[in-house]
Amino acid sequence: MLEVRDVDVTYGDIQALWGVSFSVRKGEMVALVGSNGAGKSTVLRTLSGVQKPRKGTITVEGTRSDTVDAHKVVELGVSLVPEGRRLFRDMTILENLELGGYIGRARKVKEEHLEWVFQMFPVLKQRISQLAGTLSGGEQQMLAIARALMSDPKLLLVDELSLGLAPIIVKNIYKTLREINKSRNVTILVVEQNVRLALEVADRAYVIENGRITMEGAGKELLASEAIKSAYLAIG
Amino acid sequence: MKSKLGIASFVLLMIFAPLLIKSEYLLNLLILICLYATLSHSWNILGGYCGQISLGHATFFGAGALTFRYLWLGGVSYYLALPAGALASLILAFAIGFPSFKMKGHYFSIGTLALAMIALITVQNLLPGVSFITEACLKEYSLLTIYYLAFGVGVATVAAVYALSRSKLGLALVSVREDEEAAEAIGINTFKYKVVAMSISTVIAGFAGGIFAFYCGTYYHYAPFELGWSFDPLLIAFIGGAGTVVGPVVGAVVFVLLKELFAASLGQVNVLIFGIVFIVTVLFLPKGLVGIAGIVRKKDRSART
Repeated sequence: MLEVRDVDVTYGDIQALWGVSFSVRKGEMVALVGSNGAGKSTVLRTLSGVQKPRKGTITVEGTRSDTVDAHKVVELGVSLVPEGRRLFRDMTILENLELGGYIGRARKVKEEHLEWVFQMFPVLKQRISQLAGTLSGGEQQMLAIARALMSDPKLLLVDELSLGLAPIIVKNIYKTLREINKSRNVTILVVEQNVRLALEVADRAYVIENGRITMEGAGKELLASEAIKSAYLAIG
Repeated sequence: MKSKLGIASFVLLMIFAPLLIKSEYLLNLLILICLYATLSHSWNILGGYCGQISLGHATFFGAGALTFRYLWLGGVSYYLALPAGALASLILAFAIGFPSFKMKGHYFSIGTLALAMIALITVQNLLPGVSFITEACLKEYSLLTIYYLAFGVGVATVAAVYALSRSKLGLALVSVREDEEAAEAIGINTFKYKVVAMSISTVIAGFAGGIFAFYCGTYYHYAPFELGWSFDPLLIAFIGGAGTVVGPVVGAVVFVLLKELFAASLGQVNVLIFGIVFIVTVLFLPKGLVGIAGIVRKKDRSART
């Protein structure tokens, strides 16, 4: 479903990604983990088309996505939940969701999608005309996910969802993501600093270090590996 | 329902206003208020709703004025010359305005300011003289006609902005203002919507320019290109409330009245007064005068949801 081949990304003179290659299969939930500044967010920004790679290719279900504008990438079925949520704070929940479902394909199924995301996150329905900026951190994260789902994505990219949230809330949101993945067959790629959590929940994971993919494997496998334990989990 | 009744009676009052007030001076003030409200709304669509702070609206205002003047003095009737001016303004926007979207944020503002200065200097050099009204046109010149034209264009503009503010299109424009990258990342074609906002905005600026050229009997050709026509609409929008339907109208009333008050007594120093008013508004009333009421946005919302 998603094929990333040999991608280099540079910010001016600074190279952030070096020959990054990985793939996500249909229906999977894959995690990309790594420490601060490893290049995780750059990968997602590049996948969503906001950042253009200097070299390499990205294909979504066989269609090149690295050469088109970011808003066209959404039409290919890729939707991003950005780092820090990036909601339209002075707009209501409903307005945020309407904008999420703005593209042509999504408009036809808007009502059905609204019902679906409200079922996933009932708290959003209760506060439908409240301004997004007035929601709590966890609710804002839910709204960011719901907004991304409104575009009817085949692939959902989630950037650092645990940022600034209480562990219990993070756990619940991950549970919901897993449910979305299973019940609606939405393929999900999460980027996460909380390595243990990500490896527990994902089918497969890639480890990124200094802009390069250094390890890959099933979540549980990586969780058991010595290298991961010592580098990220502070055990052993 | 109540507010609809209020608006209807206000419009009726304005229609019959010239019959009630016999003073030409007051009629002049009303024309100016309509003119400034229209121009300010033109800026408001692009700057207030879409978040693209233009400092070059004089270019489009001037293009409308120049076109109107040439056609009208050349024998075309004013009701044809007016939309022609708006069209010229739009064409100019397509030719030189849209490339400025390659620049973002402050660079866009500076870029459009440069555009306005280039336009001003060009017109100053190509048409250094004064535009006189011809005898034939003098027969068509009537304050009453101009008032109804300015008022009609003003009402149409406010109605258009009102419709825009409630539409899906308006929502997309505001999303560009709020967070352009986030908008792009959820599938909003931000460039397209900026172009749409610019198109509507410049058409309205062209209409306003045409009214100016109709209203002012004799003026230097470059007068409508002067930088004040770029800064005043911004000032008015911020004083009244940028990104609102009512704001620029309230702002225009305050602006014209204050200008009348101070221009006569203080001369050029009145520019200073507006500088101070602007700073005070930005510091203490970030939502403008309509922000004091605090009801505008809320009302908008409850109606939509």
